[in-house]
Order: sequence, then structure tokens, then C-alpha cells
Amino acid sequence: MEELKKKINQIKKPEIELPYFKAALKGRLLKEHQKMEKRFLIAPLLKPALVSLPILIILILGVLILPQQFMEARALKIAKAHPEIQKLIQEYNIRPTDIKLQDQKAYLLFMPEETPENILEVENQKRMLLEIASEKETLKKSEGVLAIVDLQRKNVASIKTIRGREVVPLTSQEEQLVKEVVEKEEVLKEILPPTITIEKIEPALPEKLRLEKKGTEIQIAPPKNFEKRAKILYKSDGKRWMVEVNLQKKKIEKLQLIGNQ
Amino acid sequence: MSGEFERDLVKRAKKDPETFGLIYDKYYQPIFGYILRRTANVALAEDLTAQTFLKALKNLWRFRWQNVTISAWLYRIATNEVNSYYRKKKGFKNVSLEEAKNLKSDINVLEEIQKAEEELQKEKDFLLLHKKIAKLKPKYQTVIALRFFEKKKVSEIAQILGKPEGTIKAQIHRALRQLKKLLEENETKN
Repeated sequence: MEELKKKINQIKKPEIELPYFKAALKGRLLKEHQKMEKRFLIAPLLKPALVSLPILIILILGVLILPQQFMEARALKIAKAHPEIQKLIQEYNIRPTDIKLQDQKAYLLFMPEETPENILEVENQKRMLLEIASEKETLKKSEGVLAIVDLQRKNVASIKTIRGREVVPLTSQEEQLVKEVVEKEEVLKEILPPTITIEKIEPALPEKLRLEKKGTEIQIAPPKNFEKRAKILYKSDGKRWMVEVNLQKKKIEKLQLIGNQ
Repeated sequence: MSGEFERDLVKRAKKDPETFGLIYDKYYQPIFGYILRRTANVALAEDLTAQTFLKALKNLWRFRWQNVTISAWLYRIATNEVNSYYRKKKGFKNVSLEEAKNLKSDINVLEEIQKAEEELQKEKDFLLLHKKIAKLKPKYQTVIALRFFEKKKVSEIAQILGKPEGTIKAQIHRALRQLKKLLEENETKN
């Protein structure tokens, strides 16, 4: 291995500069920055109100927003210092993705890092890519963690594992739809062995979850434009397969061999 | 840059285009170089670099509380863009493709790309190595590139990718093992 490292280190790496492109991109970025700023400009007719507006904004920032950012940072620090959360970060490769404050508590959502997956398209003559993933990795991908931090007591009040079925549960009609979609797909019949049996049907956890305020409660919700999906787990001859179905589009989006029983 | 200074710079960059311009000037070459060494394609590296900085600009507001350095944050965005490209591969769609096309409408930029591609094709040893590395999973390509091309320490790579150092060391080891196998297969064929 040392020889390989030496070999890689010895190979000359390309160092190429593109001054025109650099300048063109900079110009583009600065224009974009100005566009983003302009969105916050108030129309000229409202200019008289601007006299008192900055003072009002400063007051709002001072009372609401800065303390909010401070509390969020503090909550994150408390959460990350908790040994169980540290263990979960280490084992499941999760990171904080959303935070909401409510009633002196901070709700922190930790989700696994997105990992590359081969997305397959199953449509008539299109090729199918199979990804062989270990069972442990697949299970890890479907979990997130909700930590609730008590900001007054400065401790982690609770840690809860989030599972897909809790956020986007499947109805019996949806389960039936999954089976129908899979049965119609001829290409699957060529790939999956004839001896397969269904182990279970469960909802697919959305890639990104978020925290949503509903009244006085903080709930976990899928993204706003989420398309519901379901996973059907098959087993056969000592192997396990997973097929993921998009319930809205009524099509198969993924096929995985997920290791041995 | 100290943490305090960086936090202040990012805060100012949100409102002041010139300050954002300073961040861009400082990190453009390292990020472009990293993407180029990941993709071995000048035109593609330009597109992905443009996307990286556009995303950085659009996500500047959330930079602070994730508690990473600007460099690590930009490398992370760049890594995600490159890995996303390798995952989708077949003509990737992205928000800024239009912007990337606009940038290339300048004749100087086009000539520059052509000359740069010619320069790149001279780096035969690197291109051979890159061909093998490109066969690895994106996560292994990432750690190899960051460790050996960008000369990042394990702790820096851990910060860029937001993963524990132990995981990074294990990934580097596995990546090298797979790469060694690919290179040995190549030698056997020759």
C-alpha cells in the first residue's frame, strides 16, 4: 500500500488556470448576488415608511432573531455533546439538518448523510442497474434521530429514532397499489427469481425530512413536494431484494439486492 | 483564517457582493483545481465549479450554524456536485446549467477551454490514474482525491465530508485497496 501511495504522490497533477472563465463566473455571481439583494428592496412609494423601518427591524432582530440564532447554536452544542448522540453520529453517520424552537425547547433533526445510489429506470427495454448493498447500510439509511433539548435546563430531554412508517404511513390501498405496480413490470420477472416471496411492504423514508410547526407542536414532515414511495421486500434462496415504488407516478424507481437472509 | 474572522466575513458577504467576491477570489482556484482533478475534463469542471459557487451563494444564509470553515464548506459543496454528476452521469440536470452555458458564450472562454483541454491531455500518467480512480465508488474517489491530490489531512477531510476521522481512514484504506486491485488487473492485461 505504501508503494501505491508513493506512486500516486509522484504523479504530476494538472494545474490549469482559466482567467477568462474565472472573471466571467465572478461577474455572473456578483449579478446573482445583487438580484438576491434586490428581492428585499421595498418599492419607492413606501420610502417615507423607511424612516422608521430600520429602527423597527433593529428592534425585531434584537428581540427575536439574534437570540433565536444564539439559542439554536446553543441547542446544537448541547446535543452534540451528549454521548448517545455522539455514538449515533459515529455509527450512523448522521448530521443535523433542521432545528426549530418552541416553548424553551429546541427540536433537532439528525439525518444520515446522503449516499450515492444507482437509480434504475424500469421501462420496457431500458437497462437495469443493480446495486448490491449490505443489509446493515440499507437499514441505517431509513433512520433519523430527533433530539429535544431543554434550553432552560441545558440538557437533552429526549432522543428518539425516526422511522419512515411513522412519518409517511402506508394505507392498505397503497400496499395493494405497490403489489399491482410490481406485478405489471415484466422486466422484474426476468431479474427476480420465480421463488420469491414478499417479506414485507413498508413506506420509504423521504430523503429529506423537516420539522414543521403545527399549532403549538413540532412535528416531523416530509419535504413540501414529497412524492410518496413504498418498499417491497422480497426473499428467496437465502437472498433479500428490495423494490421501491413511487406511489404517485405508479412506477418502480429502485431495485436492490440487499444481502443475505 | 481564524474562526472569528471567517464568521465575520461570511456575515458581510451575505450583504456585500464585494466581500463575496473576496471569498470567490480566494477559493476559486483550489475548488476548480479539485473539480478538474476529480473529473479530468475542463468543460465539465467549469460547469461544476459554476454550480458550486452558485450554490454557495444561494446557501450562504445557512453557513454559520453548521460550524465548518469556508474552505471545508466549499469543498463539501464541490464534492456533492461531482458525486452527483457521477451518480447521474447521463447528461446531468442542474439549476445552473443555463448559467454555465451563458458563461461559455464568450469566445475567450471557449478558446481557453480548448487550450486547457490540450494541456490536460499531455498529463498522460495522471489521466491513466484518473481512469482507474473513476471506476471506484464516488465516496472512494472523493477520499483519494482529497488525500492525494488536494493533500488534505484526515482531520480536514473529516470536516469537509462531515464524517468521523475513523470512517475517513477506513475509506481511504478501502479505496487504496480497490485501486491497487484495478491497477494490478491493468498490469496483468498489459
